[in-house]
Amino acid sequence: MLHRIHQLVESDKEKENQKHQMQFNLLQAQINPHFMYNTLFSIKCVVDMNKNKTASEMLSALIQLLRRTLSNPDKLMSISNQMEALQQYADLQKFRYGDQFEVVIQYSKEIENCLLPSLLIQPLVENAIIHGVGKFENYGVIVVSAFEKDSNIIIEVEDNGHGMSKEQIASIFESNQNPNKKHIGIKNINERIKLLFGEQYGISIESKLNEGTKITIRVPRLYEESEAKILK
Amino acid sequence: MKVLIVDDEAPIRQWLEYCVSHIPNFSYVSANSGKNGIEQYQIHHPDIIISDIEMPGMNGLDMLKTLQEYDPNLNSIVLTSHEDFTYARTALNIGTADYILKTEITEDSLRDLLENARIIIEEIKIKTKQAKTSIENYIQMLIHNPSIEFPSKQDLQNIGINLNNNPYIVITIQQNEIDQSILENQNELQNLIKVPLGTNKTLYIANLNLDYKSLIDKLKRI
Repeated sequence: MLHRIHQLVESDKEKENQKHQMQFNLLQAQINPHFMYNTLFSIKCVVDMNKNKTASEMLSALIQLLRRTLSNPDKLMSISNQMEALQQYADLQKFRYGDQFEVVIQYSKEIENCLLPSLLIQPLVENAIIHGVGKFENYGVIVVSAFEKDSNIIIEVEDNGHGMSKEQIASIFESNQNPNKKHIGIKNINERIKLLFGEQYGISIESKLNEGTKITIRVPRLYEESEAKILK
Repeated sequence: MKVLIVDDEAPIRQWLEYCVSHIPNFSYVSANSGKNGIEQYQIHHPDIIISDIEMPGMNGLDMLKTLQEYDPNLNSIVLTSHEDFTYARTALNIGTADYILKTEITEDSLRDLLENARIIIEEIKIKTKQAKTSIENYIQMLIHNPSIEFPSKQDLQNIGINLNNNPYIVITIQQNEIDQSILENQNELQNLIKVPLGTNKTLYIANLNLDYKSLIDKLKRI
């Protein structure tokens, strides 16, 4: 009898893990295809105008970005690796939008080998470019900082852009019928973090209209993939 | 034909400029946002607008809706994505608009769209010229028959005087009072109609844009 109960519990656990993995894959697959279409179309435009050097630089940045982010989407990535991918993403966006903004990336050497889920920070920077600094005519600055606090890794994405009201922030976290489809990345990331590490981790947002927005990610400090499995 | 290109992505904007510059008798001006698009429109009065939809701040559809207030017959080519193609078609229902998927546009398809727009614009110009004669006759009749009630905006539209919902102004000017070209080149006036009244007088009917107070100041100075 005990053996049978044990078998049933194990089977339930396995099903739950599979469900989590499926949800995780689904959420990951939702992440922004518009960026891909628009970047490839921009490169096609540059090729048509025979600006081969610029096209080549854009393609190099895109290849590096894809290699770092999509080759192992279900794996965890080191902070240094993820920040390098982020720099390539920012470089590509600067090709597309010109020198209207800059992305400043800062993290200490002590945490560079800590692991994070892939594509964790990039959608937040994309939101900051499009919804934050893009709405202002003055120069936009987006600061991405990563540091350790109480055995957790904290990542902050702060911009000097348009800002959001409390209602706008609340709507970002509402499920299914989210009218803020352009902010879907934030809800996705929050759900991914909670699926992987538990309810105590996730995203918080502070914002003031016309002053800017700070998005904070809190995840556990991890050095091995196996640690993530234990946390689940 | 003057084309206003509005796109926030530098490579796409530059490519559109490159394509337009290859079409004989077409020239272009550019803007990198909806707001900047309106400013460029007011300065250059283009015949056709090519605009992206997704832009920070004022998006392309809001910009085109604003510009349609100035010109109900606005000619536009809207660059859409798969996601906003249907929405864009229902959002703009005034004027003449073509919609093309941004990722499928080519130099050839853009040239065809612009050539088609040119044909439509030239047909409208011919019709406008014909209508102008009957408008002039109508205004003359109004002036010489003071007992007739002054026409409503709808009455004016029925004979081809297309005023928008903004306030409008009627001015008569004696030929030697001011240089009339000054009045004709004011950005504050849209849909300007000029009717010669004989005896060296000209009557102008036009919509005023929201910045019309500066025009009143200018006229006072004149």
